[in-house]
Amino acid sequence: MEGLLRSEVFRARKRAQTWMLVAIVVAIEILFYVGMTIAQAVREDGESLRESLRVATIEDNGLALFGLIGPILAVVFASSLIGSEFGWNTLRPVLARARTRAALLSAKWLTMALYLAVLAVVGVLVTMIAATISSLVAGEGAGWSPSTVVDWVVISGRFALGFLPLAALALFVALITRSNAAGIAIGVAYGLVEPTVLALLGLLSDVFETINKGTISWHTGRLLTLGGENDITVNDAWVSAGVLALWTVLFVALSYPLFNRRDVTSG
Amino acid sequence: MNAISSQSTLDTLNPKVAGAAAAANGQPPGHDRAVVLETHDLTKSFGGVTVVDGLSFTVRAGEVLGFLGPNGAGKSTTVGMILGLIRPTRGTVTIAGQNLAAKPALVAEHVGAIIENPAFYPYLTGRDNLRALALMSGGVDETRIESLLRLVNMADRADRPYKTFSLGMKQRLGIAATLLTNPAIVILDEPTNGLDPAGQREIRDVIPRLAAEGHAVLLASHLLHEVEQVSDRVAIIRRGQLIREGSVDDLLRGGSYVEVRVPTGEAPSALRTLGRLPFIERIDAERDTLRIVAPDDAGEAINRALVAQGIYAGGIALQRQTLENLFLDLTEDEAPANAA
Repeated sequence: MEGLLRSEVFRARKRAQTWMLVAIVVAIEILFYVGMTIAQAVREDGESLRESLRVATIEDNGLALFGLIGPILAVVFASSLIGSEFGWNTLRPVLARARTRAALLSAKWLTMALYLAVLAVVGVLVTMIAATISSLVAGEGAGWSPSTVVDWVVISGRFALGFLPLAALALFVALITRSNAAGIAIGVAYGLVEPTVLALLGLLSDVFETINKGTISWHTGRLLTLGGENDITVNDAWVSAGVLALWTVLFVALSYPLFNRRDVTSG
Repeated sequence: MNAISSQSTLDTLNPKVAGAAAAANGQPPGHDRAVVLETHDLTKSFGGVTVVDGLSFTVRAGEVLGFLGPNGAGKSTTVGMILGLIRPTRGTVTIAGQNLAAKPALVAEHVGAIIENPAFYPYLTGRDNLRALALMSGGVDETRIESLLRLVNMADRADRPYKTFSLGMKQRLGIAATLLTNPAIVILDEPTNGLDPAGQREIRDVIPRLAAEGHAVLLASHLLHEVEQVSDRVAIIRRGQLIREGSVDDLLRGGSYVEVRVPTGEAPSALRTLGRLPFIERIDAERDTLRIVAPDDAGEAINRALVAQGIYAGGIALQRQTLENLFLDLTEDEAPANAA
């Protein structure tokens, strides 16, 4: 599998989309903090806005924005890992070089996980740097502490884990539908629809409220807003991390028997 | 355009592979006619429709097997089963003496293939595409990639994005990719598709040399004259079944005839004259042209008999059986169908 994984990483590095997705995160975060910096200078309530620029408050500001766009970008990347192979008809030649189908699929899952980790690290780091620069421009202290670097790593880990289930769903859907577009559509739609529908149903019955507490969106929301205005405990965060990991494992586990048994007559 | 490569280039690309196959068959190294690929009763049904039915054939190291069949005959499905992409409903595929079903890695270890049209990553250059495949396979270094690019005349064009390649360039890159791991079995599906005549000739030159180096080559092509030129044996399938298999010489033996053109109006007289000759098996007449099934050396006797009756033929020629004629005769009532 090592060769397959190296090939996946090689191809991902060479593909413009890989870097464009990261660039989107960087651009949006920079634009956000530039806008906030300008706003605090011109608005009458600039005092409160300056507080929002500090690194200490990024969970409620820049990272909240990253939590909205990150899953979409993760879904796009994950779906294209297998969906594009069908579109380009490269899956059959690749399969003929893989010692087993499981090895190929594992290489793709690992590549997805690696990319989400990179996306999360870059997204959080850019947010922190943008917030730091903005704070300094606004005349506020940067707000860094001895634990800031550790916080960066921990927050990055939370975001990576938070992106995993929807990305895994997108890759799984692209695999079974043989369509990149279907993977992206289902992944994005699920992330949008699930919380909305269950929240509405929760108004009708407590049963749906209970179901809601097992969903991807509910636990992702808790995990990605820890440390902000969210008042969940660290223990609850670990529970959410576990639930999200289980959802991810479910999609991963389902993919192997489906892929192993299928006749690949195209793609 | 230069020929694809000198023999020395091909030599440096390919240490003997037949030894591995021979060893797998319990035969001494150097026995280069070992069976490397074998299908036995290979069958595939999709939703109750049988597209490959009891197909059994072998490919030996050092030979080229032409694999022919009309559209929808089951060629692509057969290749898919050999590559492990499609699971047989029944039957087995054996590679280097081992059952593919028990060891799927056999394909990666022993087979290089172009499956229908070459497919590569459009955002990568030609060279990077080969690098990506080399990483998958492992054990393929940059030297080999460069050698293969020179072999297919792509060394100076391989740094362009694949999406800008012409069809001929794609075919060349596909052949290079097929040979990356120096496989014992090479499967080529329409390898000259899209190439100009010079390119087609170059590929035709490469195929027998691959066999000479010990590769077993399975060549699927609709260009029957091309298959006839480069193949040692031919397997013809129709509706998923093997209908004829054998060496090209054996298949084409016995299908020749003597074609005689007689002056206008003389055909009936010529027919009566030639019909009395004991060595004539059959005569078909079409206007002023007679097709006579007779021994290959009967032209002189036919000419003498006609002249004796005052009939002076405008032309007498031995027409040898061609693979194309044989193929059409065997498959001419095949209804057009989508390829499976």
